[in-house]
Amino acid sequence: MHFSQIELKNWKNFTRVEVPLRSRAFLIGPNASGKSNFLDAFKFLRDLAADGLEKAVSKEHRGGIKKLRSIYARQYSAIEINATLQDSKDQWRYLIEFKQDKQRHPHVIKEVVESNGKILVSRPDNRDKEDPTLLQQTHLEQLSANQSFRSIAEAFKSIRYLHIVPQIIREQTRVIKQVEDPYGSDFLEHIWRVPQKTRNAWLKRIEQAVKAATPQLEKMRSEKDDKGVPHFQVNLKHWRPQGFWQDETDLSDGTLRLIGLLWALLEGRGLLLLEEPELSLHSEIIRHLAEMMALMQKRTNRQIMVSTHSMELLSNPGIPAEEIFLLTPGNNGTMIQTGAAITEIKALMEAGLSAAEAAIPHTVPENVSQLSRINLGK
Amino acid sequence: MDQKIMEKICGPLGLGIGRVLGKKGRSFIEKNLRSFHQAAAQTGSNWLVLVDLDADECAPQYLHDHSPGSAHNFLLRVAVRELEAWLLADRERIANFLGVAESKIPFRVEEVFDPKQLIVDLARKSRKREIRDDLPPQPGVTAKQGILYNARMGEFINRYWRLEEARKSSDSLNRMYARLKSFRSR
Repeated sequence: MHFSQIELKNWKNFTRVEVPLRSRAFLIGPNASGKSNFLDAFKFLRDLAADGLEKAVSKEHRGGIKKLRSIYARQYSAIEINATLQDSKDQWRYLIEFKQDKQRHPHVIKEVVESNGKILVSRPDNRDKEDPTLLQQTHLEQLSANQSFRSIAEAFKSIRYLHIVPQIIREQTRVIKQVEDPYGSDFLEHIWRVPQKTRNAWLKRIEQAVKAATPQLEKMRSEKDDKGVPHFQVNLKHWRPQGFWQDETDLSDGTLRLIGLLWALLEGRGLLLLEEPELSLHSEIIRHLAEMMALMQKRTNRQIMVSTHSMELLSNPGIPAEEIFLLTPGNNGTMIQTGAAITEIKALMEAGLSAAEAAIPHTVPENVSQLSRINLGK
Repeated sequence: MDQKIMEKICGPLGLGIGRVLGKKGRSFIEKNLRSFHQAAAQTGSNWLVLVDLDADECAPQYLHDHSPGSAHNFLLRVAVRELEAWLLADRERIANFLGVAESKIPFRVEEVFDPKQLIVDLARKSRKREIRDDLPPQPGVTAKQGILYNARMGEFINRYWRLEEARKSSDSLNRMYARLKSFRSR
């Protein structure tokens, strides 16, 4: 199932945006324009389906409603996410509007589920009116209530966000592990949980790809130590004929991030959100990321959204203007437009320029040249 | 892709590719031509600079205007209308790879106005699903090629394309090959 459109109201940087989506989306824009916040709307839907409204909004997860509401909203207004999804036969719509009540609990103002235009859920309903406490939970999060639209709940739950932080993978003993941690604290367990046969097959594929990037790498494996802690091991070419086994603590940032990225591409079927996958990678490797994503999609038909600042990532001339999403901050919140909606970008790309050449110049902040004039001396 | 073609051309001559500069478009090359030439003269290693020209430009004129000097180990070459023309020049194999009849591939490949466009158009009518899916852009989007175009064509160059056949139908390829030979003999 793919998201074909998302509408956000009063969500973080966005006062109101309506964004048509395709199987791939490359989000570009200056720093702090809201690329991560846009991806977070999808993560929020995942948390909503998996953990419920209270937890998704909570201080620990997102810092409470105050942090979620658009900073541009002039009056006290509700937050709304309106998602349209499409699978091979059906179109679905899920709308959630919520606010904070007097006891500072998040509560549902509106929850609507539609399948092919037919309304399955429309809240508040009569039961909600009799017992307003029910509005502290969505139907989405309740197995007993989401029966008629379980496939949406499952699609939301299968959304995966990845932003691997190599330091977190390396410091296995120091970091408190979180389940499904996008920053990678449970990455090695994740690898270990996959059945052995599949795991080995995937590691083999990753090994091939990483070999292309790191020529001295020979082999790769996942092993548990005496204490039962899984580790990731690679064999490097060495003057010793057997090579040299190293574990994750010895791997470079780039190698760890590449392995994490490849693993994420192989694992799972739901929407994949990638935050700046280019970080720490060599520019020639980044050039191939769009192809790698497309190849993975041929196999799994998985939808993918990527935030990026990278010219190389967008240098593939096969990335169409329709897959580029330009975020432009303004006085009333950030705007989102596809490259195809901006005449200049569309014209350049029709003439054969890549998205990097046609669209990235639109993301350069106006006064950036001042950076070099800032006096950092004493 | 360019690099893959060059590997196939240089391989039989016993020339290895050391370093690849550029991938930043023509202006980068033109701006730095003098520096490249100077580096060739100083280091003594062979330098090949390859430029794609648009259809309305004249190759001899371009070479005349831009030649930075006469170092014997420096070669500025023009690939007339994109390297894709060289790929089309192995007519039998490209037809096979694209899954179209050989008669659809023009004999005078260097006169094709936009060879990449021709490859993409042929791919749309391919007998092979994979070619139809991967080479052209998805219907209705703003792009001149599919996202996997380079990957697929790279596979063609590596596995199927024959330099010897292509040289028979492409003058510019043949001329470059002859000049590269002189690199070796020195």
